Amino acid sequence: MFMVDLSADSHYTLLGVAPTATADEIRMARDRLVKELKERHRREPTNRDELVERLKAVNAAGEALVRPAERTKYDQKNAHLRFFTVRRAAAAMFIEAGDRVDILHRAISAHLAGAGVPLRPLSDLDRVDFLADASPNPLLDQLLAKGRR
Amino acid sequence: MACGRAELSGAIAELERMDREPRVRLALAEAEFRLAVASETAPAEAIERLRRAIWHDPFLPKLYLHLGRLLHRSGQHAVALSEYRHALHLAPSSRRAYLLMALALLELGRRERELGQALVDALVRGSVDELRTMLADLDALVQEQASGAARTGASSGRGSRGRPRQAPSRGPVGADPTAGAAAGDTWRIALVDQLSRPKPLRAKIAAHLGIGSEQIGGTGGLAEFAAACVLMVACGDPPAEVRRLATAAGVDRDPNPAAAMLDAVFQLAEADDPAAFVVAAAEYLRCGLVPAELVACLHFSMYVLKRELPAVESIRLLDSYPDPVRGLEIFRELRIAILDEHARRAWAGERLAEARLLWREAAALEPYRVPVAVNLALLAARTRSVADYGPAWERLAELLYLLAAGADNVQLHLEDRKRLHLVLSQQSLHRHCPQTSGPDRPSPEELAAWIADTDTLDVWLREWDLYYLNARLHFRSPVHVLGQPRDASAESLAEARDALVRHIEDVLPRQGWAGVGVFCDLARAQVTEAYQHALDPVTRARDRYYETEKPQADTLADETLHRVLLLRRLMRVLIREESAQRIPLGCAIARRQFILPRVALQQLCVDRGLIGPDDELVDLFETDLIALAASWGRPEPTDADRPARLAALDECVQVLPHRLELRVLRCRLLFEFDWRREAYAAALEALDLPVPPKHAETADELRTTLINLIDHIGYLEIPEPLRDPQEAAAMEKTAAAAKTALRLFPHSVPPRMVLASLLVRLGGEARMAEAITVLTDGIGSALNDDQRLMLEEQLGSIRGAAAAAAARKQVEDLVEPAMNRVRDAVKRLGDESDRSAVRDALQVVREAIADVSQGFNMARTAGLTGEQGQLESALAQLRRLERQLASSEEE
Repeated sequence: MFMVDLSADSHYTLLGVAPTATADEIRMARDRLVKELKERHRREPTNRDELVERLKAVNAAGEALVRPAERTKYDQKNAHLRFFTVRRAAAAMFIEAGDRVDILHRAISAHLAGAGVPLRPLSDLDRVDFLADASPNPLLDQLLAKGRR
Repeated sequence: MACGRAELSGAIAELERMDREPRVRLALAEAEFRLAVASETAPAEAIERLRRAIWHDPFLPKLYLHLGRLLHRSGQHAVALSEYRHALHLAPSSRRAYLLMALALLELGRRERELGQALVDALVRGSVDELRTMLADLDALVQEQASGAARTGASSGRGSRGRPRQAPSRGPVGADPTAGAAAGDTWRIALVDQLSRPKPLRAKIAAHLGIGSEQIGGTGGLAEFAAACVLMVACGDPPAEVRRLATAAGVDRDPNPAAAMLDAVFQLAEADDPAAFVVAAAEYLRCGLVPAELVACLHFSMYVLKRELPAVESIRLLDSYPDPVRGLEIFRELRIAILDEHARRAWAGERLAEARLLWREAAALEPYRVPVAVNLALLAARTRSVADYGPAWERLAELLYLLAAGADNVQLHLEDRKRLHLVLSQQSLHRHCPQTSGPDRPSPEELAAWIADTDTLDVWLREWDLYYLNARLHFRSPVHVLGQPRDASAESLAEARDALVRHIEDVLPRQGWAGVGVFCDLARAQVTEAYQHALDPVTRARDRYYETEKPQADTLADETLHRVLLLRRLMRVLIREESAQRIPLGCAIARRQFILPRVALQQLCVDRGLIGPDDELVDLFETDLIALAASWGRPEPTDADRPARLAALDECVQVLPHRLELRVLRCRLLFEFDWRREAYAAALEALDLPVPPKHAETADELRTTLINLIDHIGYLEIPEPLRDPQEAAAMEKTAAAAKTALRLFPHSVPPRMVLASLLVRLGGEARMAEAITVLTDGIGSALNDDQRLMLEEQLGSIRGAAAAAAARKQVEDLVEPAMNRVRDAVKRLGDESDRSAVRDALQVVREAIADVSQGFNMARTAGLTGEQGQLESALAQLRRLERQLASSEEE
């Protein structure tokens, strides 16, 4: 029976970053690894060849991933890398601070409105009454008055 | 200025009847505006009205602000941003516009979010110059992004609608506070923004809260401050610290629902143990002191994230809430969040059975949650569980389509679907073919290994088609949806549309997923819409996605070509194996070949020199399948193999119903397996098939083969021992067998001819007539000229024989009685030899001579040479007798 293979070496695993890492995170990871490898290169003369190879691989992986077009191509070719990541199944408010704050604020506003202590809308996005934004217009107001009569 | 919808609509109608002077246009703009912002107006209508208002009066800032607001609320943040920007062009001091703009920026990319956060901070500080600087930063950002895209209207220094920046403002946008009291209306937004960040800045939070505490004396100030404190505790700030701030602000001195809520939150956040938390929370919820979302958030933060209770204890704690609380929707979400959190920890800790149990619980609570389905699928793959793997991955795929169908939106979860199918397709390909680029890659050995692993190959065949479909639907450019160049003709567009619809109809329904029918309809609708847009030259010219999506479109075209070449190589390997067992796989491959966009691929293959300009890709595919189908008899089938062999050829015919070659092969198979009636029926059906003109030449030959088979079947129906009868009894038996054969196989000529021949041999007028009827009927139903000629020839010869027989009978009827009378007269003469007897006898002889002469003439006319001879000698005898009797009479 065919089954997907979750274990796969990739530029991401080499650099120790998630497939969803930003370019900055990738750059930082690459720079950190390069620094470590250069240190080891100085301290471990017997392992120089292996360290040089690894350094080349780290640089190549970093180059491929920090350039957007190259990264897109790499991701397309290795679609499994992003897909084979355990996801968070909780509702947004339990995951993202922004969603949490947003939902809590709405809940608190609704709660207090129900208790007779409504909060002012945070912004126009939360308002529904814009009567105050109407401007007087003599012709229109005349027609409306006529219509009421 | 409140007035009803009907009144405003009436006023608009009246205004539209007037001449379009400026005052009328301004009145129309205001009327449309008031209707747009009325609370009962639906968002789509409101947007439309605001656009009309702008058309009437393009210099009114509030129109752009509210248009932006509505677009913002509908999720179109980027578009809303441009409207806010326009409002600010006209009203550069509008804090409302700046605030909305900041909120829109917070919803966009990283750089926009940074700008939005800076804008919020600047609003709090109230510095107009700073706000204007940031506006310039925003313009620079937009300019930079636009220079990377195909087209923008911002490069000329004009507004986003091409209108001059310095158009006269028509006044402020609604009621704008002055800059001096700036922070008063924005500290809460700024606080919310800080709390929303991954790493909030405590100093800024304190500053914003400080502003809030200054507002406590104002209307609603205390409630707002208390609400802010509640948010801080809920987001993780130490309750003691927040309590200190609240006490300093005097919140606890006011008996206010907000203060009571804050106090309750402090109690919960400072609870001694989980059980105490639950008891207190349940009581606060019962008394309506706190919203349920707050309790859920605190519970999760305190007892799942900060204090890691084991999974079982965590669930037990949740179960200790009273039933009414557990029944709340937010508590169901809390349960899912807890289960998921523990499941992910179990996954990371390699406790996979525990992870499975927990995620399954979550799935039972919320069967339509995609991340749970993904995680269960990954789990099944990681544990290599044969029992779980298939159902888990099928469920995931089904869910991704079902949710899109349920939301009436093909784009929902499209990225996930695309990635899922691409992943499965790639992994199934690379399992045996790690290298696919380069000459002779994959190698024949790799292809053979892949073919031997039918499960893996099936996955590739299926998943790539689904990937292709979703990749096409992902495009926003109509021509890229159809996979066509920008200058494609109407015919090419129509063919591409038809190909994609065929693809949808072939690939999706066979998956058997819930909701797939609805998804098909949506996909078809999108393709049709893309076709309509692509046909319109104006829409095509204005296609703003064409250039940005072209690299992906080219990649997809290359992938499609790669697919075609690989399919063909697989087919060639199958053909070389010369085995009937490969036919079903060949059909599966052929189906995939034929749902690809043949016209576009044809051109691509010719352009890249893969086929000659006169070669037809489709012909190559068809020829391959026919060549493969020809192996139906290899290896020699046992009885048990027969149904499968027939099913395989049936499938070939289904794939290529118009190819006569496959029908012939099928008939041959039926015949070889001794299923003669089926073979006969199939052959007749195949003869009725319309044949495309380019196949006409081979069709004649194939038709002849089928007719020969039909004839042979009919002939074989006559048992061999009966085929060469000599005696009349045997002939009767054979004739009966021939009639049976004819009844079963009326279009078969041999039984008909055998029957006719026997009827003639058996003789008799009735049989002769029957033989003629049999042959005449056969001529009427002949399948081709050859059959007709054979029957006509036999009919001709039978008709001759029949005529001779009739003439013979006539002669016989004439001559025999005459000769009998002569015999009687001669006998009487022997008894009575007087003169009168002689005279009578002479008379009879003379009459007989006349009859026999007439009979002789009839025989001569009918060519009855045998009879002529006999009649001649009879005449001679009669004449001699006449002479004798005449001389006796004279004596």
